[in-house]
Amino acid sequence: MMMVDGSLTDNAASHSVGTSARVCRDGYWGFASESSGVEANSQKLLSKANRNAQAMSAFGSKQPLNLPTSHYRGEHIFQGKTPFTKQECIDWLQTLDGLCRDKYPKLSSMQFFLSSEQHNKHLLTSTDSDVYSSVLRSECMCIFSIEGKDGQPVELYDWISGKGGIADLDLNLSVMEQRLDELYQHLMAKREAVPAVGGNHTLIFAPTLTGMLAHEAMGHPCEADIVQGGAATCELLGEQVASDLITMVDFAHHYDGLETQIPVYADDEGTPANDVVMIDKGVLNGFMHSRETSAEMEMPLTGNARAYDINDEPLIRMRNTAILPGTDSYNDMIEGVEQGYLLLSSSNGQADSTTEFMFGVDLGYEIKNGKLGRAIKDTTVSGKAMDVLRSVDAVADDMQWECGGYCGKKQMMLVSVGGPSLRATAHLGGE
Amino acid sequence: MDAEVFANKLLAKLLEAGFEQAAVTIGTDSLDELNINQNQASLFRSSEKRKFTLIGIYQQRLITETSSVIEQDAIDALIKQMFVDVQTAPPDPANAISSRQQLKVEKGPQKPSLAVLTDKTRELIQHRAQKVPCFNIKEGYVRFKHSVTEMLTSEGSHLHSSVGSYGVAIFGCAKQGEKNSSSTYNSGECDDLADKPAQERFGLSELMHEAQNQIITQPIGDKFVGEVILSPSAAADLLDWFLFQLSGHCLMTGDSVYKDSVGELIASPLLTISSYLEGAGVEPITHDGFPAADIELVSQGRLNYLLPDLYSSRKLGIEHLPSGDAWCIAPGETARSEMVGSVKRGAIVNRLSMGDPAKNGDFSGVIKNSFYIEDGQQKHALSETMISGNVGKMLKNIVAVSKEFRDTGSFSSPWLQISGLHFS
Repeated sequence: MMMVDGSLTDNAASHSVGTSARVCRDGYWGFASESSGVEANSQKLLSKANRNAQAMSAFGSKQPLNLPTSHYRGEHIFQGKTPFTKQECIDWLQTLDGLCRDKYPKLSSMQFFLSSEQHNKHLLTSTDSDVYSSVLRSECMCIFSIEGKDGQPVELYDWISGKGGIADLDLNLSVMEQRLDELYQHLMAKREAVPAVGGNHTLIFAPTLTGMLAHEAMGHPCEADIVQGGAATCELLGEQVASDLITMVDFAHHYDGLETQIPVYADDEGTPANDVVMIDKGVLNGFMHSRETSAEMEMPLTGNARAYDINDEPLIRMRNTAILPGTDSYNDMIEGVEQGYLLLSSSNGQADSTTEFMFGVDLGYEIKNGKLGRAIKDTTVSGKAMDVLRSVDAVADDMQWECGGYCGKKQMMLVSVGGPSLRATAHLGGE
Repeated sequence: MDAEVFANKLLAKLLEAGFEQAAVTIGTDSLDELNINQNQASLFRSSEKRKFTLIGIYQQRLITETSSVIEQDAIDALIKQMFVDVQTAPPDPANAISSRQQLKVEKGPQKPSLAVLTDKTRELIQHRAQKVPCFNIKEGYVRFKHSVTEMLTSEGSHLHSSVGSYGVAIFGCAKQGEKNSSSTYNSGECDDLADKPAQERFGLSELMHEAQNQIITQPIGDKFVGEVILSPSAAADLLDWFLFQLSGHCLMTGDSVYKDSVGELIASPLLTISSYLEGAGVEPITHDGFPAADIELVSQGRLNYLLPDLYSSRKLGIEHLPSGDAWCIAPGETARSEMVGSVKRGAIVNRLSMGDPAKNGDFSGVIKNSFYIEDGQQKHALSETMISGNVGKMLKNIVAVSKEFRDTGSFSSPWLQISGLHFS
């Protein structure tokens, strides 16, 4: 649902059911899928997938894949609060719209967005896995726009995401009022923003950006298919690739005793999911695998093969990727910067096989002599992941998880990212 | 069940439930796809996806539901719940349904040739192995897709399209020893795959060969203001921002920098942008149930239209323009080599890695798979180099448009030479 300046511009729901089958035969894969959940289709689809795998023999004979076998049997369904009804969602949107209209009359536009996405899967494999899983993720986005000094629009958003339905998000009105006040204050500061000075700088990454850094900078280059594809990480196992303050993990289903935002107990090949410590105190320690890459690289199975839609085959994907918190204080980190920037909010990001990453920054401030200065205009942060992670000299004790948006790698995927604030040197776009 | 019969049945059920106006769209997408993984054919996928979308309006309140479940009881329950839920929505006189629109289109190949898919996959794999062995196709596909859309409304609209196309894509990087190039990719759709080698489409061969020269890179060194030559795929990033600025959503929030610019010069006179409904794989029906209009959006730099959909046009009281999703930037008269020769200092930019530009057009991004130009000479490949500027100003600062162009089906574009970018 979306409300734009009091008008409900989107009031939609979508429900898709289907079946897919994948078979491995003589070293090739065959895949078939179809909408509708009728059981009788399974055999038809298996036959079709089998015929497709057979048809691949046109490319010549191939060494059969000697895939490691493991299995998982279980049911994992999130039990959250009673879902919001459409009426409750619309009431909430209208309340927020009315509140902001009264409190922030200078805004030129207000947009509020609520979304919930649930994936229920029943997986059966020839390796004796039988898994029923349910992943449920919801998001709320508040977007404020205001006319800048030059007459041009200035925009900023607050994005809340979490496991469960909309009712499971913390959308309590008093919490929202505080968040929206902060959003408005940042927007007013951004209205006066100055361009960042392009080049290398000391940067403090807020937790949301650290999560993005973990995912984009070193997460993708540690996916085994990317490693096989020539990523710079392929020669670096056991090497120091980051400051010894950095430990980075792709969690399967639990972190610190609590279930993660996107819990994966078994992946879509039926492999039991394990945590993958990719960087251990700065040393590159391991990669994320499917059954195929695990066999080819002779490394342990991790349970990272995931498929998004019924049309999709499992690919190596992250689950809940984080840089672990340290012992430094956020305030001390800022006070320790003579000249640099504090980066608070990011938009999309991209990784590269060279480990050169980027992500957009839509809220940041100058730091001068340990004090926050003016807001900066939208910019981009980039760098070579290992250079940036080696430059980390402080990791805070705060920790935050998010699961908004999607990871894009051939297919979309629900993932979560987490991390503390940290301080590093990287390239900021600007004049 | 025949799609038109099924759509009529659903439409009748919506009206029976109490909706005053309704629309039904039945979509069927089928795909046959051969996948390449790490330079080898790996997987053959066949999929068929069906869904229907129901829109109902009751007392100016609108609700939309999409489902793939075709069991009678489930459909009845869905429509019953829709009618309960629609009454919770606020009334809005801008809500409306497409009326009196008629279209019947069959476009492109309607059935796949498995032999063609196999031959073209083999061709691509062999070309890489023989001509560019240091390039690793991490992922790729050769595919045929077919989409049938049937749309009926209570207001007398009936639109039908059946569109098929072949597609090819590769994603990968070049590697030598421990060094590798940036990841790079291209893809596109066409009506006929058989008439030329797969690698000669969509710049795929050029992409693989250029990647070899992107293994050894250098940073730009210092800051300067210079020119870029944007490849068609990088030019698409500019167009995305521009089209969003003209969209109903951006007009409604008042954030569009072009809201009052129809009839004005908003870009270089070298820039002409038209809809590209004839592009391979392009469906000529808009999401709100209209045949997509064939328009010249920008004529020699002058903006001719805004692009509000039905809802936003009624909300804002401006003319509705049903626009599709396919666009063509008209080629110019300058050869790509002449463009390079005229650049004092700048870069050939094959890919922009960046966040979405700000609403006002400000952006900064890392330039990837790109080459430094100095004194009219193409030099080394670049790493760790950013450009920043404003997309709106970039459109005005186009100084040359190439005569060469690349057609990827839904987007056809030449290379664009643009001045005034900040390099750092």
